[in-house]
Amino acid sequence: MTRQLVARLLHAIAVCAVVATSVFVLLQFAPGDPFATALDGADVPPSVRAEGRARYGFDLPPGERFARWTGALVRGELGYSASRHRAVADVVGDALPRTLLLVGVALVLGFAAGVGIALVQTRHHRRWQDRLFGVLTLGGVAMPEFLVALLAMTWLGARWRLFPVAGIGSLGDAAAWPVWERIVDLLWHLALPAGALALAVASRVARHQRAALLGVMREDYIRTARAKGLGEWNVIVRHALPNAIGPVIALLGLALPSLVGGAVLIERIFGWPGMGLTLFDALLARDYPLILAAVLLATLLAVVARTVTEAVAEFVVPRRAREP
Amino acid sequence: MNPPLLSVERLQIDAEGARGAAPTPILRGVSFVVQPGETVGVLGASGSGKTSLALSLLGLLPPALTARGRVLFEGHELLAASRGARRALRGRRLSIVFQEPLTALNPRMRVGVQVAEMACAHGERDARRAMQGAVDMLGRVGLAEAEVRAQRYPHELSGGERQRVLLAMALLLDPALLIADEPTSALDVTVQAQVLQLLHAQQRERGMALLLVSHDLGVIATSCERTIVLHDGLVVEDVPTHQFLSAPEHAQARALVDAVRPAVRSA
Repeated sequence: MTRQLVARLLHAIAVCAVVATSVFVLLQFAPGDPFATALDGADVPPSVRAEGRARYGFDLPPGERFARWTGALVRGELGYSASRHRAVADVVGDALPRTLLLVGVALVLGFAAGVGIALVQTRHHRRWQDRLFGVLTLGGVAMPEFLVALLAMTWLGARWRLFPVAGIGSLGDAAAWPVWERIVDLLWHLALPAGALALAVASRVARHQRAALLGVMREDYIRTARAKGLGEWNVIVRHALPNAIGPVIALLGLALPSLVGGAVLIERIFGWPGMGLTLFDALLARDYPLILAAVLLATLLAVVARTVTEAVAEFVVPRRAREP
Repeated sequence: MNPPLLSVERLQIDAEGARGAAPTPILRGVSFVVQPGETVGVLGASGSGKTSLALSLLGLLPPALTARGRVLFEGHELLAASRGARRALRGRRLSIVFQEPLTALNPRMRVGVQVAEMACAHGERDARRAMQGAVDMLGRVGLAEAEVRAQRYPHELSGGERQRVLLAMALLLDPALLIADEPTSALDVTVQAQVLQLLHAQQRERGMALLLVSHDLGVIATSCERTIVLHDGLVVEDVPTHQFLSAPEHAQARALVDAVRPAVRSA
């Protein structure tokens, strides 16, 4: 167990190192630097830009800059964000919890809804409920998240005014409100972005979970369960689901990176000030330290999530399968 | 004479044809009766429709198979009964032991729980009492250290032990009829004999009827009062077992008996 843990940790560190290096190299090939746009206007003399570059070390050769950055990283320093005029660690410290909230809620909602849909489909296999959800989840898989987000924003937000279209909280002196009112306000703002993300998760989970359930429903022990006189719901939930949910949990871990990627778009659309929006703004501003920190964090998140889901899935797979 | 426990009349089972093709008959009008407490063997080659017959009695045929005819069990017309009514009978009055003791148990559930579930499916609310009943029954079907074994998962038990678990499950609620579908085919010979002995001991103790479905003439010859031979979807023989062994009428039945005659004679 300990050996496995150490191996996974080393693996995670290696992945992060590779990602950090690649992103740094790729950024070298991208045109521009923080001073290409930061000092707007054609009348800024080139000497001013050059002075800025020299002050922040952008005139150094790439190799040396990489060495400086990694050196700082090892010491736990993420650097200074020129576009936000704050330490990168502070920017990330504000943004990360918001993204974790968004992605976490979407993941839990989407997983629960997806499994629920698959259970209904299995219970009513080949009847209209199965077909209806089959079409809906196919749509959910096929439709890009930004389209779902824009549709939700247009109809639920702008037309029917059920939810706010953007932001993380209502205007006003939020600090003076009672705690539960602040929580309700936060959830109310969370509804559309988390819902749009959850829809994609639910569709994928439902399609995989349904296939896994139908496979298990052909097993002999399902017939035994029915021969006991158990009701069909009991047969499905008690006997089929525990044997069919392992692969879907593993899938969730693999899907997490794409969920984080989806979160970038969703945060941008709904103005949700999390890591995605931060990364997006940082890219436009060529805020290298912030870009690198954001990408590195996303990588770390994906690696941790995959390790955790692998461990969970291993725990949940049929015991028979673990026998040598 | 009392009304029979189970009376099957002109039972037909058809397999759905692929893409509008005519359905394939599996059983083509099977009739027989089982009296309370009787032991009846159903003998047939593989593919003769034995297992479909057993499943149709419980209402567990796969969706591609349809059954027609009349099946009367304790006054219930099974094929016409509602799903709920059939479910209430399954396990309580009419239960089954399946062929594959490995795959017939849920790999992710402790065997004691799987047995206790039988009671819970038929109205037992107290989980602890259900579990106690399950452990008692596991002990009565000869599972050593039942208390401990009940906490095991199926893969931790041997084939014979798993078959005992399935039997405990089937006997838990004292059914009037037990259907055993090839209960011993997956076991090695010594365990086979033990399981058969156990079946008969339990049957005598409870006065339960037993419908023993097998392709193994030896199993049926040593244990059944009456033998029904299925061939090509029809009942070709329905006589007391001793008569069947000494003078089988149908060519197929004769072939079956001749093939194993030395073994049966010595049995």
